[in-house]
Amino acid sequence: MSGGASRSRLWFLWHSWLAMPVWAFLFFVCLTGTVAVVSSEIMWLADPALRASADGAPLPVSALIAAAEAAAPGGRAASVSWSGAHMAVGVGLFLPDGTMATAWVDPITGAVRGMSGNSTFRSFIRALHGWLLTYPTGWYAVTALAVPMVGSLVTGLVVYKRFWRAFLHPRVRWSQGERVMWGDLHRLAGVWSIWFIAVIAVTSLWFLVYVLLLDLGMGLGGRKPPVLLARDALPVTRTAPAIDTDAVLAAAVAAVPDMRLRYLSLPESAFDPVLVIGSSGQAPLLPDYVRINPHTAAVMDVTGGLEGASGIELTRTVMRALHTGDFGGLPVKLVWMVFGILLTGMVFSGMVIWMKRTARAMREGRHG
Amino acid sequence: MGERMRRLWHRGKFHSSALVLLVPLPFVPGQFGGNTVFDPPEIERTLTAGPYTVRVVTGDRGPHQEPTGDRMKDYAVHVTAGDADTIRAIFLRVGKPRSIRTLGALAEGNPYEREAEVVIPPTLSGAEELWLTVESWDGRFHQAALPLDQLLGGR
Repeated sequence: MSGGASRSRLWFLWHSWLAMPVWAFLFFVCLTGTVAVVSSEIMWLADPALRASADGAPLPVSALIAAAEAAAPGGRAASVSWSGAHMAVGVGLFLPDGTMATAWVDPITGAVRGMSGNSTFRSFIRALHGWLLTYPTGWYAVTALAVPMVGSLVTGLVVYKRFWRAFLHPRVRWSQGERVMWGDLHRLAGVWSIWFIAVIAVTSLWFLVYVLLLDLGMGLGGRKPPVLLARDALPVTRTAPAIDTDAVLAAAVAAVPDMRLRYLSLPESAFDPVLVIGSSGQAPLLPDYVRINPHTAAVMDVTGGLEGASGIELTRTVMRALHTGDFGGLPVKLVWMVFGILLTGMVFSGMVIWMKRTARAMREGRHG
Repeated sequence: MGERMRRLWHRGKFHSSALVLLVPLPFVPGQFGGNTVFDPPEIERTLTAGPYTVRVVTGDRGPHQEPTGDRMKDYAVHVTAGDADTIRAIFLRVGKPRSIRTLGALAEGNPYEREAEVVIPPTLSGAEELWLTVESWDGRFHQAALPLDQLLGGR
């Protein structure tokens, strides 16, 4: 055997063995990740309560908050999240028993369409995919899969000689036995998914490195001091002053032109400003964060977008957006879903090929 | 029997990473607001600071170490529904605050169950006190304390 042949055989062995021992786990993570990409859309499909009603002028946010609080005795609004015009607005509520709930409010009529408990399907599937419901153990287990994924991509590209030909001359041999068929499908899906696998592998690796650095106590830097209200600036009243959410939101929208609203977070303490998160048209990957004094509606701080964010914040935001496909609305999410299915299928087909090849080798070994 | 097990292992070993899927199971109740099987039992004490009576709750487990080296412990302060709207802030600190600039950890989140992460000194004599400061919206401060021993946990 020549040196070249044995080297390519070594690459091939690496490609075969990198993901095989963890294939079932990897399959699960790819599958739940694919579901997580479109988890909002699945909720929308599964539950009519989450759909916004027909067109019309949306109510002011204060009316949505009031409706949500009225629907849960003692409930205090914590947040408002917008997921697009087709979806009811989710109002997060703090409940007197210490738990949380989300009220789904129709933005046009102000009717509370439904109420979900502490965890929605979306948050459950994200937690299952990202950290197996247990942080940080699960986080490390999941992100460690980035290593076999990067390895499989690199070795796959080396092993698959002149893979670029598959773009012009795709070939799937349907009738030459299952092993051949699965092999052709594996290679075809792989060639078209090179960019996607690279994106997912690199962003996953980033998630691993990021938490590793945090746990090792190496500050990533770039963290600004928190924006807080001074005690002297707080009104002195008998009971907590009501927040004019409409004025606050108007101030945020005025501070960032063309902003598509995503999230409003009400203060978690008397010293916190209101936080409004939105995306402007110019930089969909980089949301803007606007902090507003809840009592005066004065803008205290604007960060994000193209300017302002430090390198590490920018990296974190971009990595997350690239990983989840949540930066260009539904079309991008659907592309991520399709390639997520392909990637999940590649883990499965890789296992099938391996098993069939091993089975054959064993049979031949036994008889030969 | 041994032969059967061996063959089972031989056929199944490459699928054994599916066992990782058992990991999330005990944490499912936690995801939906309940307690997981690994949560320690809770200890709680009732404190009265001026007109306010609150319940301070923590897990019966010692402080955890932050990457920065600080020892921290999480406390939840339960406020009765009638008081939630007149309380501006609640602070927790080990040792008596010397001024309103050093009230300690601010309890945040759900106004009915505010959570604070309190710095625990590296060495404890056993005589330390956990001080609670309730600041009301009318600008007044109300304080209470109890031996830290009773709410430290982990022994």
